[in-house]
Amino acid sequence: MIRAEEEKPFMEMILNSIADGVFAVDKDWKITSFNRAAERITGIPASEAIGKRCSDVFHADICEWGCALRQTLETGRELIDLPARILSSRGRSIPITLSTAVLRDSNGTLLGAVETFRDLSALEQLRKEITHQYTFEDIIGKSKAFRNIFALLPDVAKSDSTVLIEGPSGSGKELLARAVHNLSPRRKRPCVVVNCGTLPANLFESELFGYVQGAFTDAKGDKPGRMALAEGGTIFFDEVSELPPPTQVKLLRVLQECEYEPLGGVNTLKANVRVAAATNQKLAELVSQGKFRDDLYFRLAVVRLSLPPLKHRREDIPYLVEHFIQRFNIKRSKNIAGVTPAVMEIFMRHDFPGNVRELENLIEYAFVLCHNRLIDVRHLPEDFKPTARPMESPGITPSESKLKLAEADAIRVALSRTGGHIGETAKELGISRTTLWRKMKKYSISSQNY
Amino acid sequence: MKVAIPRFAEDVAPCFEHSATIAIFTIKGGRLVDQVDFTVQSREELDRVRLLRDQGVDTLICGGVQDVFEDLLRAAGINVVSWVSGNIADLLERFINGELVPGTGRLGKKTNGASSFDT
Repeated sequence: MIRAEEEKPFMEMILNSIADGVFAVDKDWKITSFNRAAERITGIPASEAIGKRCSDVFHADICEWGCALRQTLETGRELIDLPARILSSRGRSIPITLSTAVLRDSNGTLLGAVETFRDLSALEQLRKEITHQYTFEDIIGKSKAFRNIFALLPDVAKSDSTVLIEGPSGSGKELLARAVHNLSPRRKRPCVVVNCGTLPANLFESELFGYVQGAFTDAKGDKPGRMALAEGGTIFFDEVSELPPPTQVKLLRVLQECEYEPLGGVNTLKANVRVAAATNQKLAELVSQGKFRDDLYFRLAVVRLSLPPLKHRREDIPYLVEHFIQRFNIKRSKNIAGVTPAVMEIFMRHDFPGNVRELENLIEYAFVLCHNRLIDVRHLPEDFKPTARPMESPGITPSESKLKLAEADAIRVALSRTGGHIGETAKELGISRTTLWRKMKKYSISSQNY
Repeated sequence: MKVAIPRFAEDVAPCFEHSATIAIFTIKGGRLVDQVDFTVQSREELDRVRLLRDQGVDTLICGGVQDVFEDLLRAAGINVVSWVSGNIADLLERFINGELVPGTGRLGKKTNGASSFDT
């Protein structure tokens, strides 16, 4: 039997042991209790939350127009599993479901109300992975290049203009195209991706426009093309620079006339689609080389968005690392908090030829090996392990000056940038080849590793 | 200059993205000369950014706001004083006097930028 004076800590223990957030308010909406899960989900310690108005803690979408606690306090009725969104202390929108009930003392006097809430971020993330419903929230970047994209986004999303996204492989072109679609008035209709690099030229027409029964030997029934599947939505031509010239003409006609004919069909169909395209090449240069039709280029490049390589926006790496860790925590059911400073240093120095995708793959690799709270250097692939770290390189001892370490570091960075080319590395560093060789020998750096 | 504040009765609204009313104040010579309330019915989040930009708003004073929204607003050339709480008249006065500090209504955020409880 638990005595009254022991009851409070006992109740706290129970509340703190459950996975759902639980908090209570008095009749003035001031928080009187806040359990450990509530701290974890919101990012706000109980010591700060208690005594504050609940709207100042949760910043929920329903605070203004449908406060669940108010309804419960006014009607005395419990509410169960209401969907809502709150803001975490880090400014992240968190989807939750909540339930409420009134709190009364042993005499039946109203004390306030209690709310339990469940974090649905994991479910939402998994749903996004499956449905590709990415929005601007999924575009991670605070660099100048991304500020430029953000500045255009409200207008680009609202318009129906053709969008051309340029950027190296792995820089997030498809994600951006999907975000533009999901922010546009067409978002309730499909976003259909056509990978121009993998589509054989002779199948382009039938794939894009579809065919009718009898159009060719094996056409045993009508088949809608990608244009028809994207009707009312967006059609996204990925790697558009890979389109062979005859196919470019066909695409140009669709863009110009907004109509097409299924293979073997007699009727011309109107296309109500928004067109987005992406390329990892400079399309304007291909035009000047005569490899891409200029009229098609100008049709595609009504709005141009350029995604820079990751090495040109290194300041975004910490945000991307945090984003991927959060994502893989959900996908792999882990609870990794971050990376060690040594790992972050390696990431900040690496050139990421595979761009954001390479960083994502690195984090995924580390998730397989890491069973701690922090990803350390030993969880990275071999190429990233100590030999690449100046502190542990042979030839340099901890007692040597920071200047020497920085010098060795600069040589490694330059070598990795030039792919191990001695002449170019020397030129970049502003030293002679002989000096470079001498310093490489001194720091035990081999150009073969780059 | 124009200052926007999402309002909930006489206080700043708890969350910018979900506020039903955005008040836009015109300030000239350190004095409030005009106020227009806009009812925001659209559920499209970017409409709020367009509204502020199209109304020529220079500064947004708000309560909670998603991090990414702050980026969007700043990219649109709007200065953001976020995570403040309290009465709108007081906030405006403090803003005009140059005494309004962003982040004072943000809980769980240490001064070094790290969250007390990283989620």
